[in-house]
Amino acid sequence: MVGKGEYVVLSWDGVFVAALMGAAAVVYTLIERLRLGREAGIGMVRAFVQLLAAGYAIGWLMRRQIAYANLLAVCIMLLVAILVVLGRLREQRFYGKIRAVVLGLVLGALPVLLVAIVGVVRPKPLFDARYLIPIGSMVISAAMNNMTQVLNRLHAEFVSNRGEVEARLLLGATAAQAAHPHIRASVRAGMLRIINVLHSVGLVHIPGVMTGQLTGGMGAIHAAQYQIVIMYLLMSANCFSAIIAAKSAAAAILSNERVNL
Amino acid sequence: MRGLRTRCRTGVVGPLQFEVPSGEVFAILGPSGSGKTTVLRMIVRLEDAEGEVMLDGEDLWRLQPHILRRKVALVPQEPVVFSGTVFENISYGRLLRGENMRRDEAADLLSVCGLSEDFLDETAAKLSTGEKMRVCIARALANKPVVLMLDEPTAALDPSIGAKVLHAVFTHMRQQGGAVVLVTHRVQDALSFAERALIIRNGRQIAVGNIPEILHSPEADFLKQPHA
Repeated sequence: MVGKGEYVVLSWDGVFVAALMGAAAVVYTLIERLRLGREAGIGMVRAFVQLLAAGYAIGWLMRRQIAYANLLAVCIMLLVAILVVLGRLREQRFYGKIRAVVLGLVLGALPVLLVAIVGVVRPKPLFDARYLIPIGSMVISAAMNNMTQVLNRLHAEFVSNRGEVEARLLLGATAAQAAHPHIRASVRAGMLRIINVLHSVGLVHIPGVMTGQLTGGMGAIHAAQYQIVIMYLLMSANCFSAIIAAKSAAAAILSNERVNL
Repeated sequence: MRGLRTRCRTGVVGPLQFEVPSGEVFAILGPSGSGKTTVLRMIVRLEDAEGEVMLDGEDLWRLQPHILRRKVALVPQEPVVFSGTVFENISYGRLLRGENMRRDEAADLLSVCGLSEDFLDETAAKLSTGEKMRVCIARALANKPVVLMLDEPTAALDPSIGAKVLHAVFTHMRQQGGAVVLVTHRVQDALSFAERALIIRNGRQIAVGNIPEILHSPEADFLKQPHA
Protein backbone atom coordinates (compact mmCIF):
# COMPACT_ATOMS: atom_id res chain seq x y z
CA MET A 1 0.00 0.00 0.00
CA VAL A 2 1.26 3.47 -0.90
CA GLY A 3 1.06 6.02 1.90
CA LYS A 4 0.56 9.82 1.79
CA GLY A 5 3.59 11.62 0.39
CA GLU A 6 4.79 8.50 -1.41
CA TYR A 7 4.38 7.49 -5.02
CA VAL A 8 4.86 4.46 -7.24
CA VAL A 9 7.97 4.69 -9.37
CA LEU A 10 7.21 3.42 -12.88
CA SER A 11 9.58 0.85 -14.27
CA TRP A 12 10.64 0.81 -17.95
CA ASP A 13 8.54 -2.36 -18.21
CA GLY A 14 5.48 -0.26 -17.43
CA VAL A 15 6.46 2.26 -20.09
CA PHE A 16 6.87 -0.64 -22.52
CA VAL A 17 3.36 -1.95 -21.73
CA ALA A 18 1.88 1.51 -22.36
CA ALA A 19 3.86 1.71 -25.61
CA LEU A 20 2.42 -1.64 -26.65
CA MET A 21 -1.08 -0.25 -26.13
CA GLY A 22 -0.18 2.75 -28.27
CA ALA A 23 1.29 0.49 -30.94
CA ALA A 24 -1.87 -1.64 -30.88
CA ALA A 25 -3.91 1.52 -31.51
CA VAL A 26 -1.63 2.43 -34.45
CA VAL A 27 -2.01 -1.09 -35.92
CA TYR A 28 -5.79 -0.81 -35.53
CA THR A 29 -5.83 2.44 -37.53
CA LEU A 30 -3.80 0.67 -40.25
CA ILE A 31 -6.26 -2.26 -40.34
CA GLU A 32 -9.15 0.19 -40.63
CA ARG A 33 -7.22 2.05 -43.38
CA LEU A 34 -7.70 5.40 -41.65
CA ARG A 35 -4.40 6.77 -42.96
CA LEU A 36 -3.42 7.80 -39.45
CA GLY A 37 -0.76 5.20 -38.85
CA ARG A 38 2.25 7.22 -39.96
CA GLU A 39 1.29 10.38 -38.05
CA ALA A 40 0.34 8.43 -34.93
CA GLY A 41 3.54 6.37 -35.04
CA ILE A 42 5.73 9.43 -35.51
CA GLY A 43 3.76 11.16 -32.76
CA MET A 44 4.48 8.32 -30.34
CA VAL A 45 8.19 8.39 -31.10
CA ARG A 46 8.36 12.16 -30.85
CA ALA A 47 6.48 12.16 -27.54
CA PHE A 48 8.90 9.58 -26.15
CA VAL A 49 12.00 11.48 -27.20
CA GLN A 50 10.69 14.95 -26.32
CA LEU A 51 9.33 13.99 -22.90
CA LEU A 52 12.45 12.07 -21.98
CA ALA A 53 14.60 15.03 -23.07
CA ALA A 54 12.35 17.36 -21.08
CA GLY A 55 12.65 15.03 -18.09
CA TYR A 56 16.43 15.14 -18.22
CA ALA A 57 16.43 18.93 -18.77
CA ILE A 58 14.02 19.63 -15.92
CA GLY A 59 15.93 17.21 -13.70
CA TRP A 60 19.15 19.07 -14.45
CA LEU A 61 17.49 22.43 -13.78
CA MET A 62 16.01 21.16 -10.51
CA ARG A 63 19.37 19.91 -9.31
CA ARG A 64 21.23 23.10 -10.24
CA GLN A 65 18.51 25.63 -9.25
CA ILE A 66 20.00 28.49 -11.26
CA ALA A 67 17.28 31.13 -11.54
CA TYR A 68 18.58 32.52 -14.84
CA ALA A 69 18.70 29.06 -16.39
CA ASN A 70 15.11 28.40 -15.30
CA LEU A 71 13.95 31.74 -16.73
CA LEU A 72 15.87 31.03 -19.92
CA ALA A 73 14.02 27.72 -20.23
CA VAL A 74 10.71 29.62 -20.02
CA CYS A 75 11.91 32.05 -22.71
CA ILE A 76 12.83 29.12 -24.96
CA MET A 77 9.37 27.61 -24.43
CA LEU A 78 7.85 30.96 -25.33
CA LEU A 79 9.95 31.26 -28.47
CA VAL A 80 9.06 27.73 -29.57
CA ALA A 81 5.38 28.48 -28.90
CA ILE A 82 5.59 31.59 -31.12
CA LEU A 83 7.17 29.54 -33.90
CA VAL A 84 4.57 26.78 -33.52
CA VAL A 85 1.67 29.26 -33.81
CA LEU A 86 3.25 30.95 -36.85
CA GLY A 87 3.80 27.53 -38.42
CA ARG A 88 0.18 26.52 -37.88
CA LEU A 89 -1.01 29.83 -39.33
CA ARG A 90 1.22 29.51 -42.39
CA GLU A 91 -1.70 29.62 -44.81
CA GLN A 92 -3.42 32.57 -43.14
CA ARG A 93 -1.51 35.37 -44.79
CA PHE A 94 -2.07 38.79 -43.27
CA TYR A 95 0.03 41.76 -42.40
CA GLY A 96 0.80 42.00 -38.66
CA LYS A 97 0.56 38.26 -37.96
CA ILE A 98 3.94 37.99 -36.24
CA ARG A 99 3.24 41.01 -34.07
CA ALA A 100 -0.17 39.61 -33.04
CA VAL A 101 1.31 36.24 -32.06
CA VAL A 102 4.24 37.74 -30.15
CA LEU A 103 2.04 40.26 -28.33
CA GLY A 104 -0.57 37.61 -27.52
CA LEU A 105 1.93 35.23 -25.96
CA VAL A 106 4.19 37.76 -24.28
CA LEU A 107 1.46 40.03 -22.90
CA GLY A 108 -1.17 37.32 -22.46
CA ALA A 109 0.74 34.38 -21.00
CA LEU A 110 3.81 35.81 -19.24
CA PRO A 111 1.98 38.05 -16.74
CA VAL A 112 -0.28 35.11 -15.82
CA LEU A 113 2.79 32.95 -15.22
CA LEU A 114 4.36 35.70 -13.13
CA VAL A 115 1.23 35.99 -10.97
CA ALA A 116 1.12 32.20 -10.64
CA ILE A 117 4.68 32.03 -9.34
CA VAL A 118 4.94 35.24 -7.36
CA GLY A 119 1.36 35.55 -6.11
CA VAL A 120 -0.02 32.01 -5.90
CA VAL A 121 2.56 29.25 -5.47
CA ARG A 122 5.31 31.44 -3.95
CA PRO A 123 8.00 28.74 -3.90
CA LYS A 124 11.38 29.18 -2.26
CA PRO A 125 13.54 29.85 -4.21
CA LEU A 126 11.04 31.91 -6.24
CA PHE A 127 12.04 30.62 -9.65
CA ASP A 128 12.32 26.99 -8.57
CA ALA A 129 12.37 24.81 -11.68
CA ARG A 130 10.01 22.30 -10.01
CA TYR A 131 7.21 24.89 -10.26
CA LEU A 132 8.31 27.40 -12.88
CA ILE A 133 8.85 24.91 -15.70
CA PRO A 134 5.67 22.80 -15.42
CA ILE A 135 3.38 25.75 -14.68
CA GLY A 136 5.07 27.81 -17.39
CA SER A 137 4.64 24.99 -19.85
CA MET A 138 0.93 24.64 -19.06
CA VAL A 139 0.21 28.36 -19.28
CA ILE A 140 2.21 28.93 -22.47
CA SER A 141 0.91 25.85 -24.29
CA ALA A 142 -2.70 26.64 -23.36
CA ALA A 143 -2.29 30.18 -24.66
CA MET A 144 -0.54 28.87 -27.77
CA ASN A 145 -3.28 26.41 -28.70
CA ASN A 146 -6.11 28.81 -28.00
CA MET A 147 -4.45 31.66 -29.85
CA THR A 148 -3.90 29.51 -32.92
CA GLN A 149 -7.59 28.65 -33.01
CA VAL A 150 -8.69 32.24 -32.40
CA LEU A 151 -6.42 33.76 -35.07
CA ASN A 152 -7.37 31.08 -37.56
CA ARG A 153 -11.05 31.79 -36.96
CA LEU A 154 -10.54 35.56 -37.07
CA HIS A 155 -8.84 35.34 -40.45
CA ALA A 156 -11.66 33.16 -41.78
CA GLU A 157 -14.21 35.65 -40.38
CA PHE A 158 -12.63 38.52 -42.30
CA VAL A 159 -12.31 36.51 -45.49
CA SER A 160 -15.86 35.18 -45.50
CA ASN A 161 -17.49 38.35 -44.14
CA ARG A 162 -15.49 40.91 -46.08
CA GLY A 163 -18.69 42.47 -47.46
CA GLU A 164 -20.14 42.92 -43.99
CA VAL A 165 -16.92 44.41 -42.61
CA GLU A 166 -16.77 46.87 -45.52
CA ALA A 167 -20.45 47.71 -45.05
CA ARG A 168 -19.74 48.67 -41.43
CA LEU A 169 -16.69 50.72 -42.45
CA LEU A 170 -18.76 52.45 -45.14
CA LEU A 171 -21.29 53.50 -42.51
CA GLY A 172 -18.57 55.32 -40.59
CA ALA A 173 -17.38 52.56 -38.27
CA THR A 174 -13.81 52.79 -37.07
CA ALA A 175 -11.60 49.74 -37.58
CA ALA A 176 -12.20 48.68 -33.97
CA GLN A 177 -15.98 49.04 -34.33
CA ALA A 178 -16.06 47.11 -37.62
CA ALA A 179 -13.84 44.34 -36.23
CA HIS A 180 -15.64 43.91 -32.92
CA PRO A 181 -18.34 41.39 -33.99
CA HIS A 182 -15.67 39.23 -35.62
CA ILE A 183 -13.26 39.47 -32.68
CA ARG A 184 -16.14 38.51 -30.40
CA ALA A 185 -17.06 35.47 -32.54
CA SER A 186 -13.44 34.30 -32.74
CA VAL A 187 -12.57 34.74 -29.07
CA ARG A 188 -15.86 33.15 -27.99
CA ALA A 189 -15.18 30.13 -30.18
CA GLY A 190 -11.72 29.78 -28.68
CA MET A 191 -12.80 30.29 -25.09
CA LEU A 192 -15.75 27.91 -25.17
CA ARG A 193 -13.44 24.91 -24.82
CA ILE A 194 -11.83 26.02 -21.55
CA ILE A 195 -15.19 27.28 -20.26
CA ASN A 196 -16.73 23.87 -20.99
CA VAL A 197 -13.84 22.27 -19.13
CA LEU A 198 -14.49 24.57 -16.15
CA HIS A 199 -18.10 23.40 -16.14
CA SER A 200 -17.31 19.69 -16.27
CA VAL A 201 -14.03 19.45 -14.37
CA GLY A 202 -14.19 17.12 -11.37
CA LEU A 203 -17.50 15.65 -12.58
CA VAL A 204 -16.37 13.84 -15.68
CA HIS A 205 -12.63 14.03 -15.76
CA ILE A 206 -9.87 14.73 -13.28
CA PRO A 207 -7.27 16.78 -15.13
CA GLY A 208 -3.56 16.11 -15.38
CA VAL A 209 -2.31 18.28 -12.54
CA MET A 210 -4.67 16.82 -9.97
CA THR A 211 -4.05 13.30 -11.25
CA GLY A 212 -0.32 13.92 -11.03
CA GLN A 213 -0.54 15.29 -7.50
CA LEU A 214 -2.73 12.40 -6.35
CA THR A 215 -0.48 9.77 -7.86
CA GLY A 216 2.48 11.69 -6.45
CA GLY A 217 1.08 11.19 -2.96
CA MET A 218 -0.45 14.62 -2.25
CA GLY A 219 -3.67 14.86 -0.21
CA ALA A 220 -6.84 15.07 -2.28
CA ILE A 221 -7.89 18.54 -1.08
CA HIS A 222 -4.43 19.97 -1.68
CA ALA A 223 -4.42 18.39 -5.14
CA ALA A 224 -7.84 19.94 -5.80
CA GLN A 225 -6.52 23.34 -4.69
CA TYR A 226 -3.69 23.02 -7.17
CA GLN A 227 -6.08 22.07 -9.92
CA ILE A 228 -8.42 24.99 -9.16
CA VAL A 229 -5.50 27.40 -9.32
CA ILE A 230 -4.27 25.88 -12.57
CA MET A 231 -7.73 26.04 -14.18
CA TYR A 232 -8.09 29.72 -13.31
CA LEU A 233 -4.61 30.48 -14.59
CA LEU A 234 -5.24 28.61 -17.83
CA MET A 235 -8.50 30.46 -18.36
CA SER A 236 -6.76 33.79 -17.76
CA ALA A 237 -3.89 32.97 -20.10
CA ASN A 238 -6.31 31.76 -22.78
CA CYS A 239 -8.46 34.84 -22.42
CA PHE A 240 -5.75 37.50 -22.29
CA SER A 241 -3.65 36.02 -25.08
CA ALA A 242 -6.67 35.47 -27.34
CA ILE A 243 -8.06 38.98 -26.89
CA ILE A 244 -4.68 40.70 -27.25
CA ALA A 245 -3.74 38.66 -30.34
CA ALA A 246 -7.17 39.04 -31.95
CA LYS A 247 -7.25 42.81 -31.40
CA SER A 248 -3.73 43.20 -32.73
CA ALA A 249 -4.46 41.07 -35.80
CA ALA A 250 -7.73 42.86 -36.48
CA ALA A 251 -6.07 46.26 -36.18
CA ALA A 252 -3.46 45.16 -38.73
CA ILE A 253 -5.99 43.64 -41.13
CA LEU A 254 -8.15 46.77 -40.94
CA SER A 255 -5.30 49.28 -40.86
CA ASN A 256 -6.18 52.54 -42.61
CA GLU A 257 -9.81 51.49 -42.04
CA ARG A 258 -9.91 49.19 -45.04
CA VAL A 259 -9.73 45.42 -45.39
CA ASN A 260 -6.10 44.53 -46.14
CA LEU A 261 -6.41 40.90 -47.19
CA MET B 1 -11.96 65.36 -57.76
CA ARG B 2 -8.61 65.84 -59.40
CA GLY B 3 -6.01 63.44 -60.63
CA LEU B 4 -7.69 60.49 -58.97
CA ARG B 5 -5.46 57.52 -59.62
CA THR B 6 -4.90 54.09 -58.15
CA ARG B 7 -3.06 50.88 -58.86
CA CYS B 8 -4.99 48.00 -57.38
CA ARG B 9 -5.85 44.36 -57.94
CA THR B 10 -7.99 45.19 -60.96
CA GLY B 11 -5.21 47.13 -62.68
CA VAL B 12 -4.55 50.82 -63.05
CA VAL B 13 -7.46 53.24 -62.78
CA GLY B 14 -7.11 56.91 -63.61
CA PRO B 15 -6.17 59.64 -63.85
CA LEU B 16 -9.73 60.94 -63.55
CA GLN B 17 -11.05 64.43 -63.03
CA PHE B 18 -14.67 65.41 -62.51
CA GLU B 19 -16.92 67.65 -60.44
CA VAL B 20 -20.34 66.95 -58.97
CA PRO B 21 -22.34 70.08 -58.01
CA SER B 22 -24.74 69.75 -55.10
CA GLY B 23 -28.25 68.77 -56.11
CA GLU B 24 -26.99 66.89 -59.17
CA VAL B 25 -27.12 63.23 -60.11
CA PHE B 26 -23.82 62.39 -61.77
CA ALA B 27 -23.31 59.09 -63.57
CA ILE B 28 -20.13 57.09 -63.97
CA LEU B 29 -20.70 55.09 -67.11
CA GLY B 30 -18.65 52.31 -68.62
CA PRO B 31 -18.67 48.66 -69.52
CA SER B 32 -18.27 45.91 -66.92
CA GLY B 33 -14.70 45.72 -65.64
CA SER B 34 -13.85 49.27 -66.68
CA GLY B 35 -13.03 50.34 -63.10
CA LYS B 36 -16.26 52.12 -62.12
CA THR B 37 -16.55 50.37 -58.77
CA THR B 38 -12.86 51.00 -58.09
CA VAL B 39 -13.42 54.73 -58.58
CA LEU B 40 -16.09 54.73 -55.87
CA ARG B 41 -13.92 52.61 -53.57
CA MET B 42 -11.01 55.01 -54.13
CA ILE B 43 -13.13 58.02 -53.20
CA VAL B 44 -14.11 56.48 -49.84
CA ARG B 45 -10.58 55.12 -49.30
CA LEU B 46 -11.42 51.43 -49.46
CA GLU B 47 -8.65 51.32 -52.07
CA ASP B 48 -5.33 53.09 -51.78
CA ALA B 49 -5.19 55.95 -54.26
CA GLU B 50 -3.39 59.14 -55.13
CA GLY B 51 -5.01 62.45 -55.96
CA GLU B 52 -7.41 64.86 -54.34
CA VAL B 53 -11.07 64.67 -53.41
CA MET B 54 -12.48 68.04 -52.38
CA LEU B 55 -15.87 68.72 -50.81
CA ASP B 56 -16.80 72.40 -50.47
CA GLY B 57 -13.11 73.33 -50.37
CA GLU B 58 -12.24 70.64 -47.81
CA ASP B 59 -9.77 67.93 -48.80
CA LEU B 60 -11.67 64.80 -47.83
CA TRP B 61 -8.63 62.56 -47.97
CA ARG B 62 -7.06 64.52 -45.13
CA LEU B 63 -9.91 63.31 -42.89
CA GLN B 64 -9.86 59.98 -41.09
CA PRO B 65 -11.65 57.47 -43.34
CA HIS B 66 -14.55 56.94 -40.92
CA ILE B 67 -15.21 60.68 -40.80
CA LEU B 68 -15.02 60.89 -44.62
CA ARG B 69 -17.50 57.99 -44.96
CA ARG B 70 -20.06 59.80 -42.82
CA LYS B 71 -20.02 62.59 -45.41
CA VAL B 72 -19.73 60.43 -48.51
CA ALA B 73 -21.84 57.27 -48.45
CA LEU B 74 -21.31 54.31 -50.74
CA VAL B 75 -23.91 51.61 -51.27
CA PRO B 76 -22.18 48.62 -52.88
CA GLN B 77 -23.67 46.57 -55.70
CA GLU B 78 -24.18 43.52 -53.48
CA PRO B 79 -26.51 44.49 -50.65
CA VAL B 80 -25.18 43.36 -47.27
CA VAL B 81 -27.40 43.58 -44.20
CA PHE B 82 -26.35 42.98 -40.61
CA SER B 83 -27.97 40.51 -38.25
CA GLY B 84 -30.97 42.02 -36.46
CA THR B 85 -34.00 43.95 -37.57
CA VAL B 86 -34.34 46.45 -40.38
CA PHE B 87 -34.59 49.22 -37.76
CA GLU B 88 -31.33 48.09 -36.16
CA ASN B 89 -29.72 48.15 -39.59
CA ILE B 90 -30.95 51.64 -40.42
CA SER B 91 -29.94 53.09 -37.05
CA TYR B 92 -26.47 51.43 -37.10
CA GLY B 93 -24.56 54.46 -38.42
CA ARG B 94 -26.16 56.80 -35.91
CA LEU B 95 -25.45 54.42 -33.04
CA LEU B 96 -21.79 54.40 -34.00
CA ARG B 97 -21.78 58.12 -33.29
CA GLY B 98 -23.64 57.67 -30.01
CA GLU B 99 -26.89 59.06 -31.43
CA ASN B 100 -30.28 57.42 -31.10
CA MET B 101 -32.57 57.25 -34.11
CA ARG B 102 -36.32 57.67 -33.77
CA ARG B 103 -38.51 55.01 -35.34
CA ASP B 104 -40.46 57.61 -37.32
CA GLU B 105 -37.22 58.88 -38.87
CA ALA B 106 -36.30 55.37 -39.92
CA ALA B 107 -39.83 54.82 -41.23
CA ASP B 108 -39.55 58.00 -43.33
CA LEU B 109 -36.30 56.81 -44.88
CA LEU B 110 -37.80 53.39 -45.58
CA SER B 111 -40.72 55.06 -47.25
CA VAL B 112 -38.34 57.07 -49.48
CA CYS B 113 -36.95 53.69 -50.53
CA GLY B 114 -40.41 52.31 -51.22
CA LEU B 115 -40.82 50.11 -48.13
CA SER B 116 -43.55 50.49 -45.55
CA GLU B 117 -43.07 51.06 -41.82
CA ASP B 118 -44.06 47.42 -41.22
CA PHE B 119 -40.62 46.38 -42.42
CA LEU B 120 -38.89 48.03 -39.44
CA ASP B 121 -39.29 44.97 -37.22
CA GLU B 122 -38.56 42.43 -39.94
CA THR B 123 -35.37 40.39 -39.71
CA ALA B 124 -33.15 42.01 -42.32
CA ALA B 125 -31.47 38.77 -43.37
CA LYS B 126 -34.83 37.29 -44.38
CA LEU B 127 -35.63 40.01 -46.94
CA SER B 128 -35.35 39.56 -50.70
CA THR B 129 -32.30 40.94 -52.52
CA GLY B 130 -34.27 43.95 -53.78
CA GLU B 131 -35.62 44.70 -50.31
CA LYS B 132 -32.13 44.36 -48.83
CA MET B 133 -30.83 46.87 -51.38
CA ARG B 134 -33.54 49.34 -50.35
CA VAL B 135 -32.65 48.83 -46.67
CA CYS B 136 -29.00 49.46 -47.56
CA ILE B 137 -29.92 52.72 -49.29
CA ALA B 138 -32.09 53.80 -46.33
CA ARG B 139 -29.23 52.85 -43.98
CA ALA B 140 -26.85 55.05 -45.98
CA LEU B 141 -29.33 57.94 -46.02
CA ALA B 142 -29.67 57.71 -42.22
CA ASN B 143 -26.12 59.04 -41.91
CA LYS B 144 -27.26 62.22 -43.73
CA PRO B 145 -24.42 62.07 -46.26
CA VAL B 146 -23.50 65.06 -48.42
CA VAL B 147 -22.77 62.73 -51.34
CA LEU B 148 -24.54 59.42 -51.92
CA MET B 149 -22.79 56.99 -54.25
CA LEU B 150 -24.75 54.02 -55.60
CA ASP B 151 -22.98 51.17 -57.36
CA GLU B 152 -25.21 49.58 -60.02
CA PRO B 153 -28.34 49.83 -57.84
CA THR B 154 -30.65 48.68 -60.63
CA ALA B 155 -28.91 45.29 -60.67
CA ALA B 156 -30.46 44.37 -57.33
CA LEU B 157 -33.73 46.30 -57.61
CA ASP B 158 -36.87 44.91 -59.18
CA PRO B 159 -37.12 46.63 -62.62
CA SER B 160 -40.81 47.43 -62.10
CA ILE B 161 -40.18 49.68 -59.10
CA GLY B 162 -36.43 50.30 -59.30
CA ALA B 163 -36.76 53.51 -61.28
CA LYS B 164 -39.44 54.85 -58.97
CA VAL B 165 -37.33 54.10 -55.88
CA LEU B 166 -34.23 55.72 -57.37
CA HIS B 167 -36.14 58.85 -58.40
CA ALA B 168 -37.49 59.13 -54.83
CA VAL B 169 -33.99 58.68 -53.38
CA PHE B 170 -32.51 61.29 -55.74
CA THR B 171 -35.31 63.74 -54.90
CA HIS B 172 -34.60 63.19 -51.19
CA MET B 173 -30.90 63.90 -51.73
CA ARG B 174 -31.68 67.05 -53.73
CA GLN B 175 -33.97 68.29 -50.95
CA GLN B 176 -31.13 67.73 -48.48
CA GLY B 177 -28.79 69.74 -50.74
CA GLY B 178 -26.69 66.70 -51.46
CA ALA B 179 -25.37 65.12 -54.63
CA VAL B 180 -25.59 61.61 -56.04
CA VAL B 181 -22.98 59.62 -57.94
CA LEU B 182 -24.55 56.74 -59.81
CA VAL B 183 -22.42 53.99 -61.25
CA THR B 184 -23.97 52.08 -64.10
CA HIS B 185 -23.02 50.14 -67.20
CA ARG B 186 -26.44 50.85 -68.76
CA VAL B 187 -26.62 53.96 -70.94
CA GLN B 188 -30.39 54.03 -70.40
CA ASP B 189 -29.97 54.34 -66.61
CA ALA B 190 -27.58 57.25 -67.06
CA LEU B 191 -29.99 58.96 -69.46
CA SER B 192 -32.96 58.37 -67.15
CA PHE B 193 -31.44 59.56 -63.89
CA ALA B 194 -28.40 61.74 -64.43
CA GLU B 195 -27.64 65.12 -65.96
CA ARG B 196 -23.93 64.66 -66.51
CA ALA B 197 -21.62 61.69 -66.69
CA LEU B 198 -18.06 60.48 -66.70
CA ILE B 199 -17.36 57.74 -69.22
CA ILE B 200 -14.52 55.38 -68.40
CA ARG B 201 -13.03 52.45 -70.23
CA ASN B 202 -10.19 50.21 -69.01
CA GLY B 203 -9.75 52.58 -66.09
CA ARG B 204 -9.17 55.60 -68.34
CA GLN B 205 -11.32 58.72 -68.52
CA ILE B 206 -12.92 58.83 -71.99
CA ALA B 207 -15.23 61.80 -71.62
CA VAL B 208 -17.00 63.93 -69.05
CA GLY B 209 -19.92 66.32 -69.52
CA ASN B 210 -23.61 66.49 -70.41
CA ILE B 211 -24.82 63.00 -71.22
CA PRO B 212 -26.47 63.61 -74.63
CA GLU B 213 -23.37 65.49 -75.83
CA ILE B 214 -20.77 62.98 -74.69
CA LEU B 215 -22.81 60.04 -75.90
CA HIS B 216 -22.64 61.48 -79.41
CA SER B 217 -18.88 61.94 -79.24
CA PRO B 218 -16.84 59.39 -81.22
CA GLU B 219 -14.96 58.34 -78.05
CA ALA B 220 -18.21 56.95 -76.63
CA ASP B 221 -19.03 54.77 -79.62
CA PHE B 222 -18.00 51.64 -77.73
CA LEU B 223 -20.99 52.15 -75.40
CA LYS B 224 -23.36 51.61 -78.31
CA GLN B 225 -21.95 48.19 -79.06
CA PRO B 226 -24.07 45.32 -77.72
CA HIS B 227 -21.33 43.81 -75.51
CA ALA B 228 -20.82 47.14 -73.78
